[in-house]
Amino acid sequence: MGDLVYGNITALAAALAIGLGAIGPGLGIGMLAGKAMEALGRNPEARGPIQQNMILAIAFAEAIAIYALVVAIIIIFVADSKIPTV
Amino acid sequence: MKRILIVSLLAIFFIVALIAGPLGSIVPGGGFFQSPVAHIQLPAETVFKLPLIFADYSVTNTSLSLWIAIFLLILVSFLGTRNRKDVPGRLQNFLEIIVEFFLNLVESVSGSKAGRKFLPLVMTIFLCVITSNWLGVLPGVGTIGLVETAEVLCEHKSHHLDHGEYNEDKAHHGNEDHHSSNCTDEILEEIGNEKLTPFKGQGFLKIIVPGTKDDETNKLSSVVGDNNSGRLLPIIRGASTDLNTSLAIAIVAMIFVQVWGFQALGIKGYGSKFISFKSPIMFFVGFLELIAEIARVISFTFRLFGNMFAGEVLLVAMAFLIPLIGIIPFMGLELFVGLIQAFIFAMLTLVFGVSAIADHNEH
Repeated sequence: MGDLVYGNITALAAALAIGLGAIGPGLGIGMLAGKAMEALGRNPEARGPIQQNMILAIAFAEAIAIYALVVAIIIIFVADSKIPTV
Repeated sequence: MKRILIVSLLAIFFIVALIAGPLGSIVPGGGFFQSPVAHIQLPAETVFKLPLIFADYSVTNTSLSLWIAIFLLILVSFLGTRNRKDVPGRLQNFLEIIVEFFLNLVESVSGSKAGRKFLPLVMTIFLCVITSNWLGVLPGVGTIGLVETAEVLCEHKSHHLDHGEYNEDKAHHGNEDHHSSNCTDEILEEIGNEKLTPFKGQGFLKIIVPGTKDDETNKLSSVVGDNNSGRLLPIIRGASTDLNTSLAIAIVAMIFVQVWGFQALGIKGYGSKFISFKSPIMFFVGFLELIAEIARVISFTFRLFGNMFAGEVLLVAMAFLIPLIGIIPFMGLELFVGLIQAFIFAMLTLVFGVSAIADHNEH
Protein backbone atom coordinates (compact mmCIF):
# COMPACT_ATOMS: atom_id res chain seq x y z
CA MET A 1 0.00 0.00 0.00
CA GLY A 2 2.90 2.32 0.76
CA ASP A 3 4.46 1.60 -2.62
CA LEU A 4 1.22 2.29 -4.39
CA VAL A 5 0.78 5.67 -2.76
CA TYR A 6 4.30 6.84 -3.50
CA GLY A 7 4.24 5.50 -7.01
CA ASN A 8 1.11 7.31 -8.08
CA ILE A 9 1.29 10.48 -6.09
CA THR A 10 2.82 12.44 -8.93
CA ALA A 11 -0.18 11.75 -11.10
CA LEU A 12 -2.50 12.80 -8.30
CA ALA A 13 -0.46 15.91 -7.63
CA ALA A 14 -0.46 16.97 -11.26
CA ALA A 15 -4.16 16.34 -11.65
CA LEU A 16 -5.00 18.31 -8.51
CA ALA A 17 -2.70 21.15 -9.52
CA ILE A 18 -4.37 21.81 -12.81
CA GLY A 19 -7.85 20.78 -11.73
CA LEU A 20 -8.13 23.08 -8.76
CA GLY A 21 -6.10 25.74 -10.45
CA ALA A 22 -8.50 26.07 -13.33
CA ILE A 23 -11.59 26.72 -11.22
CA GLY A 24 -10.79 30.31 -10.35
CA PRO A 25 -9.79 31.55 -13.78
CA GLY A 26 -12.73 29.77 -15.35
CA LEU A 27 -15.16 31.62 -13.11
CA GLY A 28 -13.25 34.85 -13.53
CA ILE A 29 -13.24 34.77 -17.30
CA GLY A 30 -16.92 33.90 -17.35
CA MET A 31 -17.76 36.88 -15.18
CA LEU A 32 -15.55 39.14 -17.27
CA ALA A 33 -17.14 38.12 -20.51
CA GLY A 34 -20.60 38.46 -19.01
CA LYS A 35 -19.97 42.01 -17.91
CA ALA A 36 -18.46 42.83 -21.27
CA MET A 37 -21.55 41.51 -23.03
CA GLU A 38 -23.70 43.62 -20.76
CA ALA A 39 -21.68 46.73 -21.51
CA LEU A 40 -21.80 45.94 -25.21
CA GLY A 41 -25.55 45.58 -25.06
CA ARG A 42 -25.92 48.92 -23.38
CA ASN A 43 -23.59 50.78 -25.70
CA PRO A 44 -22.98 49.00 -28.99
CA GLU A 45 -21.03 51.97 -30.35
CA ALA A 46 -18.17 51.45 -27.89
CA ARG A 47 -17.48 48.03 -29.33
CA GLY A 48 -13.78 48.55 -30.12
CA PRO A 49 -12.56 49.65 -26.69
CA ILE A 50 -14.81 47.21 -24.86
CA GLN A 51 -13.54 44.29 -26.91
CA GLN A 52 -9.88 45.24 -26.55
CA ASN A 53 -10.07 45.80 -22.82
CA MET A 54 -11.99 42.58 -22.37
CA ILE A 55 -9.29 40.60 -24.17
CA LEU A 56 -6.64 42.28 -22.03
CA ALA A 57 -8.42 41.42 -18.78
CA ILE A 58 -9.06 37.86 -19.94
CA ALA A 59 -5.31 37.47 -20.52
CA PHE A 60 -4.64 38.47 -16.93
CA ALA A 61 -7.16 35.95 -15.60
CA GLU A 62 -5.99 33.19 -17.89
CA ALA A 63 -2.39 33.61 -16.82
CA ILE A 64 -3.29 32.15 -13.43
CA ALA A 65 -4.60 29.00 -15.06
CA ILE A 66 -1.41 28.84 -17.11
CA TYR A 67 0.68 29.00 -13.93
CA ALA A 68 -1.25 25.99 -12.60
CA LEU A 69 -0.72 24.16 -15.89
CA VAL A 70 3.00 24.82 -15.83
CA VAL A 71 3.22 23.47 -12.28
CA ALA A 72 1.39 20.32 -13.38
CA ILE A 73 3.68 19.88 -16.37
CA ILE A 74 6.76 20.35 -14.22
CA ILE A 75 5.48 17.78 -11.74
CA ILE A 76 5.00 15.19 -14.45
CA PHE A 77 8.06 15.75 -16.58
CA VAL A 78 10.72 16.98 -14.22
CA ALA A 79 9.87 15.91 -10.71
CA ASP A 80 8.72 12.43 -11.59
CA SER A 81 12.10 10.83 -11.25
CA LYS A 82 13.09 12.80 -8.20
CA ILE A 83 10.41 11.58 -5.81
CA PRO A 84 11.87 8.76 -3.69
CA THR A 85 10.10 5.46 -3.60
CA VAL A 86 9.68 3.70 -0.29
CA MET B 1 -27.25 16.02 -53.24
CA LYS B 2 -23.58 16.92 -53.65
CA ARG B 3 -23.55 18.37 -50.17
CA ILE B 4 -24.99 15.21 -48.65
CA LEU B 5 -22.33 13.20 -50.47
CA ILE B 6 -19.50 15.35 -49.17
CA VAL B 7 -20.80 15.38 -45.60
CA SER B 8 -21.29 11.63 -45.54
CA LEU B 9 -17.82 11.05 -46.96
CA LEU B 10 -16.35 13.25 -44.26
CA ALA B 11 -18.35 11.45 -41.58
CA ILE B 12 -17.13 8.07 -42.81
CA PHE B 13 -13.56 9.36 -42.87
CA PHE B 14 -13.93 10.63 -39.33
CA ILE B 15 -15.31 7.34 -38.04
CA VAL B 16 -12.60 5.36 -39.81
CA ALA B 17 -9.94 7.62 -38.32
CA LEU B 18 -11.47 7.17 -34.86
CA ILE B 19 -11.43 3.41 -35.16
CA ALA B 20 -7.92 3.43 -36.59
CA GLY B 21 -6.52 5.18 -33.60
CA PRO B 22 -5.92 3.98 -30.09
CA LEU B 23 -9.54 4.69 -29.16
CA GLY B 24 -10.67 2.03 -31.58
CA SER B 25 -8.58 -0.76 -30.17
CA ILE B 26 -11.53 -1.94 -28.12
CA VAL B 27 -13.20 -2.82 -31.41
CA PRO B 28 -11.72 -6.08 -32.73
CA GLY B 29 -9.74 -5.24 -35.81
CA GLY B 30 -9.46 -1.61 -34.85
CA GLY B 31 -6.43 0.35 -33.83
CA PHE B 32 -4.52 -0.46 -36.98
CA PHE B 33 -3.14 3.01 -37.49
CA GLN B 34 -1.76 3.67 -34.06
CA SER B 35 1.55 5.37 -33.80
CA PRO B 36 3.81 5.49 -30.78
CA VAL B 37 3.33 8.42 -28.46
CA ALA B 38 5.93 11.06 -29.12
CA HIS B 39 8.26 11.98 -26.33
CA ILE B 40 7.39 15.35 -24.86
CA GLN B 41 10.42 17.29 -23.83
CA LEU B 42 10.30 20.40 -21.70
CA PRO B 43 13.80 21.86 -22.09
CA ALA B 44 15.02 22.48 -25.61
CA GLU B 45 17.42 19.96 -27.10
CA THR B 46 20.83 20.87 -28.45
CA VAL B 47 21.22 20.29 -32.17
CA PHE B 48 24.87 21.15 -32.53
CA LYS B 49 27.53 23.11 -30.72
CA LEU B 50 29.49 26.06 -32.01
CA PRO B 51 33.02 26.12 -30.65
CA LEU B 52 33.66 29.52 -29.14
CA ILE B 53 36.56 30.87 -27.13
CA PHE B 54 36.12 29.48 -23.66
CA ALA B 55 33.02 27.31 -23.92
CA ASP B 56 30.88 25.71 -26.56
CA TYR B 57 27.72 27.53 -27.45
CA SER B 58 25.02 24.91 -27.79
CA VAL B 59 22.55 25.79 -30.51
CA THR B 60 19.15 24.45 -29.52
CA ASN B 61 16.35 23.71 -31.92
CA THR B 62 14.25 26.54 -30.56
CA SER B 63 17.20 28.85 -31.06
CA LEU B 64 17.38 27.82 -34.72
CA SER B 65 13.67 28.46 -35.09
CA LEU B 66 14.00 31.92 -33.58
CA TRP B 67 16.83 32.76 -35.98
CA ILE B 68 14.67 31.66 -38.88
CA ALA B 69 11.82 33.86 -37.61
CA ILE B 70 14.14 36.85 -37.24
CA PHE B 71 15.56 36.29 -40.71
CA LEU B 72 12.06 36.10 -42.17
CA LEU B 73 11.05 39.36 -40.48
CA ILE B 74 14.18 41.16 -41.65
CA LEU B 75 13.70 39.84 -45.18
CA VAL B 76 10.06 40.94 -45.38
CA SER B 77 10.83 44.37 -43.93
CA PHE B 78 13.77 44.87 -46.28
CA LEU B 79 11.84 43.85 -49.38
CA GLY B 80 8.85 45.93 -48.39
CA THR B 81 10.69 49.16 -47.76
CA ARG B 82 13.25 49.08 -50.53
CA ASN B 83 11.78 51.41 -53.13
CA ARG B 84 9.18 53.34 -51.26
CA LYS B 85 6.58 54.90 -53.49
CA ASP B 86 3.80 57.29 -52.65
CA VAL B 87 1.28 54.89 -54.11
CA PRO B 88 2.48 51.73 -52.41
CA GLY B 89 2.94 48.36 -54.02
CA ARG B 90 1.47 45.23 -52.46
CA LEU B 91 4.07 44.35 -49.88
CA GLN B 92 4.56 47.94 -48.82
CA ASN B 93 0.80 48.29 -48.53
CA PHE B 94 0.61 45.24 -46.31
CA LEU B 95 3.33 46.53 -44.03
CA GLU B 96 1.65 49.92 -43.92
CA ILE B 97 -1.58 48.28 -42.77
CA ILE B 98 0.24 46.67 -39.86
CA VAL B 99 2.08 49.83 -38.88
CA GLU B 100 -1.05 51.95 -39.14
CA PHE B 101 -3.07 49.51 -37.03
CA PHE B 102 -0.50 49.60 -34.29
CA LEU B 103 0.00 53.33 -34.50
CA ASN B 104 -3.73 53.91 -34.02
CA LEU B 105 -3.87 51.39 -31.20
CA VAL B 106 -0.89 52.83 -29.38
CA GLU B 107 -2.00 56.41 -29.80
CA SER B 108 -5.50 55.61 -28.60
CA VAL B 109 -4.14 54.09 -25.41
CA SER B 110 -1.36 56.50 -24.64
CA GLY B 111 -1.81 59.77 -26.50
CA SER B 112 0.13 60.83 -29.56
CA LYS B 113 3.40 62.05 -28.02
CA ALA B 114 4.11 59.05 -25.83
CA GLY B 115 2.58 56.80 -28.45
CA ARG B 116 5.38 57.47 -30.89
CA LYS B 117 7.88 56.52 -28.21
CA PHE B 118 6.14 53.26 -27.40
CA LEU B 119 5.41 52.15 -30.94
CA PRO B 120 8.72 50.50 -31.98
CA LEU B 121 9.01 48.16 -29.02
CA VAL B 122 5.34 47.25 -28.95
CA MET B 123 5.29 46.42 -32.64
CA THR B 124 8.55 44.52 -32.48
CA ILE B 125 7.33 42.39 -29.61
CA PHE B 126 4.13 41.64 -31.48
CA LEU B 127 5.86 40.70 -34.73
CA CYS B 128 8.55 38.62 -33.05
CA VAL B 129 6.11 36.69 -30.88
CA ILE B 130 3.57 36.09 -33.60
CA THR B 131 6.19 34.90 -36.09
CA SER B 132 7.74 32.48 -33.65
CA ASN B 133 4.31 31.24 -32.55
CA TRP B 134 3.07 30.61 -36.06
CA LEU B 135 6.33 29.03 -37.19
CA GLY B 136 5.81 26.45 -34.47
CA VAL B 137 2.58 25.27 -36.10
CA LEU B 138 4.01 24.68 -39.56
CA PRO B 139 4.10 21.05 -40.69
CA GLY B 140 7.62 19.75 -40.39
CA VAL B 141 8.45 21.81 -37.35
CA GLY B 142 8.81 19.43 -34.47
CA THR B 143 8.45 16.35 -36.62
CA ILE B 144 11.59 16.31 -38.77
CA GLY B 145 14.80 15.74 -36.97
CA LEU B 146 17.60 13.53 -35.81
CA VAL B 147 17.29 10.18 -34.13
CA GLU B 148 18.84 9.79 -30.71
CA THR B 149 19.59 6.12 -30.27
CA ALA B 150 19.95 4.44 -26.90
CA GLU B 151 23.73 4.84 -26.98
CA VAL B 152 23.53 8.58 -27.51
CA LEU B 153 21.10 8.86 -24.62
CA CYS B 154 23.42 6.83 -22.40
CA GLU B 155 26.26 9.15 -23.35
CA HIS B 156 24.19 12.22 -22.50
CA LYS B 157 23.30 10.69 -19.16
CA SER B 158 26.90 9.80 -18.36
CA HIS B 159 27.97 13.34 -19.14
CA HIS B 160 25.26 14.64 -16.85
CA LEU B 161 26.34 12.32 -14.06
CA ASP B 162 30.06 12.95 -14.44
CA HIS B 163 30.34 16.57 -15.23
CA GLY B 164 26.96 18.20 -14.99
CA GLU B 165 27.30 19.84 -18.40
CA TYR B 166 27.74 18.91 -22.04
CA ASN B 167 30.99 20.55 -23.01
CA GLU B 168 33.25 17.62 -22.26
CA ASP B 169 32.58 16.21 -25.72
CA LYS B 170 35.85 17.56 -27.04
CA ALA B 171 37.83 15.90 -24.29
CA HIS B 172 36.28 12.53 -25.04
CA HIS B 173 37.09 12.47 -28.70
CA GLY B 174 40.45 10.93 -28.03
CA ASN B 175 39.06 7.99 -26.10
CA GLU B 176 37.05 6.23 -28.76
CA ASP B 177 37.15 2.92 -26.95
CA HIS B 178 35.20 4.32 -24.06
CA HIS B 179 32.09 4.77 -26.14
CA SER B 180 31.27 1.14 -26.32
CA SER B 181 30.99 0.84 -22.57
CA ASN B 182 28.98 3.98 -22.06
CA CYS B 183 25.75 2.23 -21.21
CA THR B 184 26.95 0.98 -17.88
CA ASP B 185 24.62 -0.81 -15.57
CA GLU B 186 24.15 2.11 -13.23
CA ILE B 187 23.13 4.39 -16.09
CA LEU B 188 20.75 1.75 -17.38
CA GLU B 189 19.26 1.50 -13.92
CA GLU B 190 18.39 5.18 -14.00
CA ILE B 191 17.08 5.56 -17.52
CA GLY B 192 16.59 1.98 -18.63
CA ASN B 193 12.86 2.13 -18.27
CA GLU B 194 12.38 4.98 -20.72
CA LYS B 195 10.53 4.02 -23.81
CA LEU B 196 12.03 4.58 -27.24
CA THR B 197 10.06 4.65 -30.46
CA PRO B 198 10.91 2.21 -33.22
CA PHE B 199 11.91 3.65 -36.57
CA LYS B 200 11.93 1.94 -39.94
CA GLY B 201 14.39 2.59 -42.69
CA GLN B 202 18.02 2.49 -43.55
CA GLY B 203 20.85 4.88 -43.22
CA PHE B 204 19.86 8.49 -43.14
CA LEU B 205 16.18 8.22 -43.85
CA LYS B 206 14.16 6.77 -41.01
CA ILE B 207 10.49 7.28 -40.37
CA ILE B 208 8.03 6.35 -37.71
CA VAL B 209 5.50 4.20 -39.47
CA PRO B 210 1.93 4.44 -38.22
CA GLY B 211 0.57 1.06 -37.42
CA THR B 212 3.29 0.17 -34.97
CA LYS B 213 1.36 -0.34 -31.82
CA ASP B 214 2.19 1.30 -28.55
CA ASP B 215 3.47 -1.81 -26.86
CA GLU B 216 6.21 -2.09 -29.42
CA THR B 217 7.97 0.96 -28.08
CA ASN B 218 11.01 -0.58 -26.54
CA LYS B 219 12.53 -0.04 -23.18
CA LEU B 220 15.91 1.60 -23.50
CA SER B 221 17.71 -1.21 -21.74
CA SER B 222 16.67 -3.71 -24.38
CA VAL B 223 17.67 -1.76 -27.49
CA VAL B 224 21.19 -0.64 -26.69
CA GLY B 225 23.16 -1.05 -29.86
CA ASP B 226 20.10 -1.13 -32.10
CA ASN B 227 20.18 1.74 -34.54
CA ASN B 228 16.51 1.60 -35.34
CA SER B 229 15.06 2.57 -31.99
CA GLY B 230 15.46 5.96 -30.58
CA ARG B 231 14.00 9.28 -29.64
CA LEU B 232 13.23 11.99 -32.13
CA LEU B 233 15.19 15.21 -31.73
CA PRO B 234 13.41 17.82 -33.86
CA ILE B 235 15.71 20.11 -35.79
CA ILE B 236 13.31 23.02 -35.51
CA ARG B 237 10.85 23.51 -32.71
CA GLY B 238 8.64 26.54 -32.08
CA ALA B 239 10.74 29.23 -30.43
CA SER B 240 8.17 30.27 -27.87
CA THR B 241 7.88 26.74 -26.52
CA ASP B 242 11.21 27.42 -24.88
CA LEU B 243 11.17 29.20 -21.55
CA ASN B 244 14.29 31.16 -22.46
CA THR B 245 12.71 33.01 -25.38
CA SER B 246 9.74 34.08 -23.28
CA LEU B 247 11.98 35.16 -20.44
CA ALA B 248 14.21 37.16 -22.75
CA ILE B 249 11.36 39.08 -24.34
CA ALA B 250 9.75 39.68 -20.93
CA ILE B 251 13.00 41.03 -19.45
CA VAL B 252 13.50 43.36 -22.40
CA ALA B 253 9.93 44.61 -22.13
CA MET B 254 10.20 45.35 -18.41
CA ILE B 255 13.60 47.03 -18.79
CA PHE B 256 12.08 49.32 -21.37
CA VAL B 257 9.13 50.11 -19.11
CA GLN B 258 11.53 51.22 -16.37
CA VAL B 259 13.56 53.26 -18.86
CA TRP B 260 10.42 55.02 -20.10
CA GLY B 261 9.41 55.74 -16.52
CA PHE B 262 12.76 57.27 -15.67
CA GLN B 263 12.78 59.26 -18.88
CA ALA B 264 9.36 60.73 -18.30
CA LEU B 265 9.42 61.41 -14.57
CA GLY B 266 13.08 61.72 -13.69
CA ILE B 267 14.92 59.62 -11.17
CA LYS B 268 13.28 61.17 -8.15
CA GLY B 269 9.82 61.20 -9.65
CA TYR B 270 9.84 57.61 -10.79
CA GLY B 271 11.81 56.38 -7.80
CA SER B 272 9.28 57.87 -5.42
CA LYS B 273 6.73 55.41 -6.73
CA PHE B 274 8.70 52.59 -5.22
CA ILE B 275 10.56 54.08 -2.30
CA SER B 276 8.60 56.81 -0.55
CA PHE B 277 9.06 58.01 2.97
CA LYS B 278 5.89 60.01 3.29
CA SER B 279 4.22 57.56 5.61
CA PRO B 280 4.63 53.91 6.62
CA ILE B 281 1.70 52.88 4.48
CA MET B 282 3.14 54.58 1.42
CA PHE B 283 6.46 52.88 2.09
CA PHE B 284 4.76 49.51 2.18
CA VAL B 285 2.79 50.29 -0.96
CA GLY B 286 5.97 51.25 -2.74
CA PHE B 287 7.61 48.03 -1.67
CA LEU B 288 4.68 46.06 -3.01
CA GLU B 289 4.95 47.94 -6.29
CA LEU B 290 8.56 46.84 -6.53
CA ILE B 291 7.60 43.23 -6.03
CA ALA B 292 4.80 43.63 -8.55
CA GLU B 293 7.31 44.76 -11.18
CA ILE B 294 9.28 41.58 -10.74
CA ALA B 295 6.12 39.51 -10.70
CA ARG B 296 5.23 41.03 -14.07
CA VAL B 297 8.36 39.56 -15.64
CA ILE B 298 7.42 36.13 -14.33
CA SER B 299 3.81 36.55 -15.38
CA PHE B 300 4.78 37.59 -18.94
CA THR B 301 7.13 34.66 -19.23
CA PHE B 302 4.78 31.99 -18.04
CA ARG B 303 1.79 33.31 -19.92
CA LEU B 304 3.52 33.01 -23.29
CA PHE B 305 5.48 29.86 -22.46
CA GLY B 306 2.53 28.09 -20.85
CA ASN B 307 0.18 28.80 -23.73
CA MET B 308 2.63 27.76 -26.42
CA PHE B 309 4.02 24.69 -24.67
CA ALA B 310 0.57 23.48 -23.70
CA GLY B 311 -0.49 23.98 -27.31
CA GLU B 312 2.41 21.86 -28.51
CA VAL B 313 1.58 19.10 -26.02
CA LEU B 314 -2.06 19.31 -27.07
CA LEU B 315 -1.16 18.89 -30.73
CA VAL B 316 0.98 15.85 -29.94
CA ALA B 317 -1.75 14.29 -27.82
CA MET B 318 -4.49 14.88 -30.38
CA ALA B 319 -2.34 13.57 -33.21
CA PHE B 320 -1.89 10.43 -31.18
CA LEU B 321 -5.56 10.08 -30.22
CA ILE B 322 -7.27 10.54 -33.58
CA PRO B 323 -4.84 9.88 -36.41
CA LEU B 324 -4.97 11.73 -39.70
CA ILE B 325 -7.62 14.31 -38.90
CA GLY B 326 -7.76 14.81 -35.16
CA ILE B 327 -5.23 17.57 -35.27
CA ILE B 328 -7.04 19.84 -37.72
CA PRO B 329 -9.29 21.84 -35.35
CA PHE B 330 -6.43 22.13 -32.89
CA MET B 331 -4.18 23.62 -35.51
CA GLY B 332 -6.80 26.30 -35.94
CA LEU B 333 -6.88 26.80 -32.17
CA GLU B 334 -3.10 27.07 -32.10
CA LEU B 335 -3.10 29.75 -34.79
CA PHE B 336 -5.72 31.72 -32.90
CA VAL B 337 -3.97 31.35 -29.55
CA GLY B 338 -0.65 32.36 -31.10
CA LEU B 339 -2.19 35.56 -32.46
CA ILE B 340 -3.93 36.39 -29.19
CA GLN B 341 -0.84 35.77 -27.07
CA ALA B 342 1.28 38.00 -29.28
CA PHE B 343 -1.33 40.72 -29.12
CA ILE B 344 -1.62 40.40 -25.35
CA PHE B 345 2.14 40.57 -24.84
CA ALA B 346 2.34 43.76 -26.88
CA MET B 347 -0.74 45.34 -25.29
CA LEU B 348 0.40 44.57 -21.75
CA THR B 349 3.80 46.11 -22.44
CA LEU B 350 1.99 49.19 -23.71
CA VAL B 351 -0.33 49.35 -20.70
CA PHE B 352 2.56 49.02 -18.25
CA GLY B 353 4.44 51.70 -20.13
CA VAL B 354 1.47 54.06 -19.91
CA SER B 355 1.08 53.43 -16.20
CA ALA B 356 4.81 53.96 -15.69
CA ILE B 357 4.84 57.42 -17.21
CA ALA B 358 1.63 58.48 -15.51
CA ASP B 359 2.31 61.15 -12.97
CA HIS B 360 0.55 60.28 -9.73
CA ASN B 361 1.04 63.66 -8.12
CA GLU B 362 -1.25 65.46 -10.48
CA HIS B 363 -4.69 65.03 -8.99
